[in-house]
Amino acid sequence: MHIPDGYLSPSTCATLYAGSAPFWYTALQKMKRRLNTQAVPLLSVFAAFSFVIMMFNLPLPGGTTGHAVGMGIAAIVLGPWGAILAISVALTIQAIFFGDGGITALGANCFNMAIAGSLVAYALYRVIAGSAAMESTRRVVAAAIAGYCAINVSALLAAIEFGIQPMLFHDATGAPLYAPYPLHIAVPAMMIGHLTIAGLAEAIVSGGVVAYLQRAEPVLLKSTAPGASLDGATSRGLKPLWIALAALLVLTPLGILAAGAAWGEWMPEDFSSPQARQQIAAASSNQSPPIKAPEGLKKLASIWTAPMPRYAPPLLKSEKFGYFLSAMAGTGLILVVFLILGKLRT
Amino acid sequence: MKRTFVEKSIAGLAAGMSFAALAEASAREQSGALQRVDPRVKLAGMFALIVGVAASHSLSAIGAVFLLAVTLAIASRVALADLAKWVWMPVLLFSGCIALPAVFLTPGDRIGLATVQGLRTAAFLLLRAETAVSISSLLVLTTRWSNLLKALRVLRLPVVFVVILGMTYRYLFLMLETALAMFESRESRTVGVLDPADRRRLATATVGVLLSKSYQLSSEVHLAMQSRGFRGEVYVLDEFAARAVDWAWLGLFFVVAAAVAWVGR
Amino acid sequence: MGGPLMFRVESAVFRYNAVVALDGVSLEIEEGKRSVLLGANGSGKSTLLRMLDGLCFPDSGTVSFRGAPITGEHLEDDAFAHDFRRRVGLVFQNPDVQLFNPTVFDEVAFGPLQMRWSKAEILARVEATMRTMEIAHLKDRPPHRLSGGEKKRVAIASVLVLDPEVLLLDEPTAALDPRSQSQIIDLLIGWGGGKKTVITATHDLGLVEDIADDCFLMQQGKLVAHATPSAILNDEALLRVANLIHEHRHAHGPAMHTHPHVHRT
Repeated sequence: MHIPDGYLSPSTCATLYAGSAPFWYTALQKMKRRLNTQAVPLLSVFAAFSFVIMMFNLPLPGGTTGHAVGMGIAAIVLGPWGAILAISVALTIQAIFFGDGGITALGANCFNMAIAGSLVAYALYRVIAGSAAMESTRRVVAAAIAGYCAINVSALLAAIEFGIQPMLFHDATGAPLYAPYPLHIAVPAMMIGHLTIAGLAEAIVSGGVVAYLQRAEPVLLKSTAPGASLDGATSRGLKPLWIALAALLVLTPLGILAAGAAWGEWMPEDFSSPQARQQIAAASSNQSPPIKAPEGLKKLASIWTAPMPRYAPPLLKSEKFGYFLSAMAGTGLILVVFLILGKLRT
Repeated sequence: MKRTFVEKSIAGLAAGMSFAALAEASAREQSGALQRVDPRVKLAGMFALIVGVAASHSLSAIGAVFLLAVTLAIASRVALADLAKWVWMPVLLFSGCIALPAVFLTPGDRIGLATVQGLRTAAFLLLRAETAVSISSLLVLTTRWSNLLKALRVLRLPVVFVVILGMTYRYLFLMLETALAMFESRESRTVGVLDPADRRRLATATVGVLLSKSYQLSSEVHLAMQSRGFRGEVYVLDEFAARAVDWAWLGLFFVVAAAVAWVGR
Repeated sequence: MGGPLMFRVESAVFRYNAVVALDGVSLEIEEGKRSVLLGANGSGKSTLLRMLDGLCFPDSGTVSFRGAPITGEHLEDDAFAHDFRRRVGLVFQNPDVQLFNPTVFDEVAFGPLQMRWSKAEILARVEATMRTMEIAHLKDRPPHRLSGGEKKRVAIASVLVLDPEVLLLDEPTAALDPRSQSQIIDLLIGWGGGKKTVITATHDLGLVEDIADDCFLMQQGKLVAHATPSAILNDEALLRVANLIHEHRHAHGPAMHTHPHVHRT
């Protein structure tokens, strides 16, 4: 899932570097306070460990192999901020030294795997494990689920980053300059592999290692066990919120069922297409839309390099996907923001 | 013959270590052109080049930078065969797989089964990837890792991050060796092929043991650091001194980077 | 007899994970003396050594250095910590724990950097120490490319560079080839004559007489004897109780022949 150089435009890369920066900054600040503790060697050794894990090919049910990233265990053992740093360090070494993952794309890779991955894994682990006993099976299951979802969220973010490239960046002849596949190809292509193979590998590693640690070295699991922060009352108060968000995530597929573009988000071409006109009319109390696209609409629509008419069919399809996926990613990130807010309050 | 999980993992781990050995040997080659350039200049300059290549919309400009990289490699006594084996081939295989379908799938003006746009986009992808990775490989193959780390400080990277990066690199090899030893000992104790469930248990147990050892190692390292005065602040010592020729190199890198981006704007 | 008191340990007790590592140990170390903490694995000698280096603190009892108590709180005081860390150095049993910097030079320079010495002074002292320990040619080597003996010499150098008054060594000859072992032993002998206070923890009986004037025998967390090396080494019964030698039985026809037997590691 490491994105190499050349697949993302400089502006995408810069955006993701900028997006990662506040998380890195916060993680370093949190770490600074713990500098005189074991934090420095622990993070280093853990980053090295994560690196090595990425080289293991795990045998999976079905006879294939996949490899995990280790974001699940990193978040569970080091906590979210430590995991962000440790995995970022591992990714940096992979990028600079082993050429695995691009250098301009390092911000993107860190955002997807180190940051989003760690935060999602941590949030889900805490929510699902709740206040279960240290040695309980519930924690193992929580770890497995957390790892699975985290790696899939990372993959999804990467797929979105790939998928929007052709839409936004192409040369005069219309050839995509960077990643060539639009969302409706990029997303399924990446997700199929991760929802099955890689996700399973991460789940097995996360769950399996937690189970091993419960017996062998329970102290490693302590920092993410209840009692450290988030007292019982607060976590109970947040529970209905989590349930609501989870329901939202499940219901977003229903959004696809809504046919046609959302109301008010038409493109200039829609005004000349009879099929689209019918939809617009139906959605607007049977009022017919103007014959020509309004001038202002046309002008504004072209600020974002307008896709050529030939692109419309695939793009319309991918718009629906785009909706679904942005909803998924959006809710996922909201989950994360809430968790952070929750921590800031305590 | 199909390789077992253990054998494949051993191969992967060993490959990582041999590339590292190659890089270290290459970085110590005193007669190479790039080896003598100030690490800070190389870091900043090469980063600029990669960004320039990323920003450029001109295939020929990117191609020119690739040729520049090849020239610099030769001048720095980096064997092109090594570059091909470790860098060009893997990128070609990986990006090739991604780029190939794009040749046919990208909508545009058809020629045969492919489209002009498809060919262009595949060319961009491949050329950008190969050029960028050639530049970063040159950086790694001509600079000692410890100097690279210290040069990162110049880019205003926080000291603690650089220290962690350095320590990670150092313990990476210890961990690779440990993992290799664990796999080799399992290999010698395994008769025949294990069923998938056993292999999974083996894999997670290996991971768990590695994790335990990592934790114990980190506790011990922390004590060793404290024993020599570490109390929370990290300090780094560097002996960099930029000469006139280093500034010239920096100028060269930046001019080329700007030119590539400008020509292809 | 000796000089002023360097260390005084009074009834130190230390528990770790339900195991009693030190069970009420009391001893005194005079300045300039070379002492050996003799004991089998698990006797508590490593724990005691770490306690003398302020890396762990007794659950009950006291440890003091030149009259000043070594406690967690006391080590938070900048002045005391700065002084203590410079004057007392510990060489760990496992050099990989102690070599956590990217290169040998960085490793030896780590201590002086923590002490905030000037750059010129650091460079001078590091060069001098590396020459003394015959590791100058390894200056830019990363630790994973060092042999066992070289690692040990670097570890010792990284402690010696601070010119400590007290040297604590944990199993210094463990896992070393014979030549490296004799080099270390020569060093230990060379520190005799009151130049430094040296405390070596070991279970190697062959080492004791050469490197120490004073011997503390430990067993299961307790100090069971304190005498000259020859007195302790000649007391077979005592050594057997301390699990440093064992009886070896074999048959000669109808008769059983027993003799004490010690393994050299």
